[in-house]
Amino acid sequence: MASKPQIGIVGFTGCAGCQLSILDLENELLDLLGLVDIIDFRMAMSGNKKGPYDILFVEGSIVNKHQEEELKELREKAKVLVAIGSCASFGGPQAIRNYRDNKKTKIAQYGKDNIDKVEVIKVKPINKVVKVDHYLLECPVNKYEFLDFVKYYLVGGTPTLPNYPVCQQCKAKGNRCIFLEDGIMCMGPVIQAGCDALCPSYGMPCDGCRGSTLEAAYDQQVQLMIEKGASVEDITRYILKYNGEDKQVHEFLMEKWKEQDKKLVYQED
Amino acid sequence: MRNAAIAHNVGVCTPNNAKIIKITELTHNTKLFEIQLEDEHSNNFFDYSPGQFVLITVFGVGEIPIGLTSTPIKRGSFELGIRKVGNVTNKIHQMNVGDIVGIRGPFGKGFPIEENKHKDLLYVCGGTGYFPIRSTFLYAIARREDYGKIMFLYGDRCPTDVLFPDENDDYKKREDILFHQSVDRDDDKCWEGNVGVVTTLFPNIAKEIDPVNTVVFVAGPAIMYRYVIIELEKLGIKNENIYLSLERKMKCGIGKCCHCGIGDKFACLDGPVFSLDQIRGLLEAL
Amino acid sequence: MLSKIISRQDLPKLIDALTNDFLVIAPTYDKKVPTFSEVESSSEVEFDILFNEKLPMLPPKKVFLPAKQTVFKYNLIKGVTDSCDEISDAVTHNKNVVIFGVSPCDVSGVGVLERIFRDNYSDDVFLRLHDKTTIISVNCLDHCYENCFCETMSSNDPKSGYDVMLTEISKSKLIAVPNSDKGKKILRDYPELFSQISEKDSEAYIDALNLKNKNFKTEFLVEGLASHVEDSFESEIWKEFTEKCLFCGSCTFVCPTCYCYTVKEIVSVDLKDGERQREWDSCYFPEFALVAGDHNFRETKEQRFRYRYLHKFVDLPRRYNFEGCVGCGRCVTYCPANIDVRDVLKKIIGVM
Repeated sequence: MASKPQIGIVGFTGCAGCQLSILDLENELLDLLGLVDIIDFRMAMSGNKKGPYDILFVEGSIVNKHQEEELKELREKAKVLVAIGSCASFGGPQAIRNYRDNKKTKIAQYGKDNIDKVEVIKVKPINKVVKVDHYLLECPVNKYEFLDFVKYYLVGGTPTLPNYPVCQQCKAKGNRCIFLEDGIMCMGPVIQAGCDALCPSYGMPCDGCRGSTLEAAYDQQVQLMIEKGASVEDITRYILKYNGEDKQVHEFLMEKWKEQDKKLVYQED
Repeated sequence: MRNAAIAHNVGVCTPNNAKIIKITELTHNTKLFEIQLEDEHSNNFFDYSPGQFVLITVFGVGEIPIGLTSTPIKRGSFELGIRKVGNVTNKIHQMNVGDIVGIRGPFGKGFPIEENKHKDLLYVCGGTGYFPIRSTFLYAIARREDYGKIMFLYGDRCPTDVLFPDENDDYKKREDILFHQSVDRDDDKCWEGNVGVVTTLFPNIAKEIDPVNTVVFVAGPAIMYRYVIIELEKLGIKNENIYLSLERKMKCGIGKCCHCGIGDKFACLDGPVFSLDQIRGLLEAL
Repeated sequence: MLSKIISRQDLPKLIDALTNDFLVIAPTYDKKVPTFSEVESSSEVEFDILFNEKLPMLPPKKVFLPAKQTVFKYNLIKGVTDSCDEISDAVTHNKNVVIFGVSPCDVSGVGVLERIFRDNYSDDVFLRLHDKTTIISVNCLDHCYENCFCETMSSNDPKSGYDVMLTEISKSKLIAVPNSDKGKKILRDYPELFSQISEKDSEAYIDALNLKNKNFKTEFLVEGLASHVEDSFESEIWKEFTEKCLFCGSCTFVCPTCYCYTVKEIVSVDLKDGERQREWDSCYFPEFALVAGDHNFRETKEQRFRYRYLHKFVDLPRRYNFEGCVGCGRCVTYCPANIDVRDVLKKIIGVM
């Protein structure tokens, strides 16, 4: 057999939860190490090598020029580059900033006197900077989805993400529909499944950490949320929570929802 | 219709283990795989009619439908022509002689070749549509005396994509077969024959067509059908004598999973070969 | 007479007796959701689901066609190692199964699936589980709730598909009518729980059936529905409902007659072994009819919405002679967007 694939796991702006999540694969970690060589994983080990990588997993979003350059360099060293988690895939919670007045945000964050000293750009998911081959979702990344990806890569394929809403897995588990029956603002109908309906299974609403499902019905979802009494501000918050740079979310917010929520201003570069 | 036997000893949802016994590279992205079921008893029973398909499993990767490419006259093994397009086909292309795959089937209804003895046959195929067509074509030329004229129109994208070039040259030389070939594009100017889509070959055979006595078998990409049908209707061939092999997503092969539903028909059970007459009655078919 | 009487009080005893010999599945509550699940004793069974007009959220199809199910197991190099027969026997711990408390509409639903999965090529995964199952149905004497339209779909009086039918003939008594060898065996095997039927009981049974007959009403005419739906292929009605629909697929999962599935491969971490899993799919999902080369045979949401109705009310009747709907109303109850299948059909027929 050929030598084991060289794998890197790196992080940009995010909480590092995705990397922790991978470390949390306690029962499978040893088997995993039998299949691949992890050459770069700063959170977990020393003696890291900066490539070349067969697969490079990237956590976090890009928020300054320096990171942009670093990511571009990494891309050149990676045969396959995989975005892991909400920040790398859709911007994550910090991308909410992209829809607010940049100056006000900076003042709130750094104080009036310091705003010119800090160089922050618009929050970018990594696909706005480099070509991304695959996405592994969830906040933090679903460790089994990560493991599946490695397995399928080695067997000779790529796993397909479940391109359907959370409701499929929620019904499969026989959960009560908290959106319908309790009026809890659950984003399940428009959010990509794969989490096995984790939050709704504990009576908590889906808050959308896996990004929009294919052809997500935001119009209909928002209409129902209004009927259930959600305010305009709340609806913006629910939609924007993780997925500011998700294409469908962006289009819905800026082409339709902007008429309702006048506070939405999208920062251009 | 030839009676096709389903040789399954463990239920139709579980594949038979089967061995790849020969691999022929056809083009840069297509290979012909000769396959034999591991269980000798099942292998002896394995029979099919041209135009039927099997579901081939690459263990660990997935399962896809592939039209049988060989003629059922030859028993003991069968051939599948496979173009690299996705996960499963990519993996099959990396496999070697002796490797094990899973085979379910044969499934579906093929081309009505036995029912149309003594008729003139016109084959029209594009790209990988050649694979299922080859099965019925080989069947007819092996029983040449049973049929009237045999005409074959084959189009592919470019010269490097052309399938079975040696076989094709043999057919062109034969006087009892009218074989015409075309490529859509010839960017490198290396093609001596006709350049243009498959429908540009129709003038070659127009005079040979006896519209009442001709049966047409068509396979190719969905987009090709619309234009081929126009040509066939110009020639005066009736819908009931035109048979097309339709492509659909398939998961079960036995009319259960519903992915291949076309109106009240399933491509896996009632097709993949349908007469144009049938198709005209189905919503969402073409 | 083969029919017997069982007292309402003895139903728990019957469940307990059955648990000794079968894997028993009965209505329970799981986090406030009425559901069918495996029970070990009668104390877990919620009889009020049966007698207080509630339908479990997921129909009994979940026993034969669960959300996820192993079809066969394999070694990546050697191929198939375990066929579905061995696997499904392990699922039921090598026991036969009893589903207790199935409503008549759900009996019809199981019947629809059974016909489909037996037709042409038998689906051994489904049928292996189905054929080892005894269905004990509890009769309905009236519409169970506002979304029920079983009479419209003629599904509340199934002629087959159940093994024993229990019908309340008084507050304390039920008549147990066997309808198959498996059903007759149940009545024979637990003689201490079943008593002979008296003349008065017979009369009460007839009264109950008459009451049932009187109570059930049709909401609209299903005759000719197939051609109405087919003729509405180009209608604006589909657009109207497509604009409301979330395409979450909930209706298809709670439907007793929806059976689309997809398959996927699960590989072990050491990459040596794997299994094929069957998993619920829905024709409402965008990739349902997508083939290699990115060609989608039902590209728009409207086409997908329409297809479900075409399949249920045109294609199935023509192919199998029954509709793919038993009028249980679950799709209405569990639709987050409040779409009512009856409204769609009524608009198509032109009575709304």
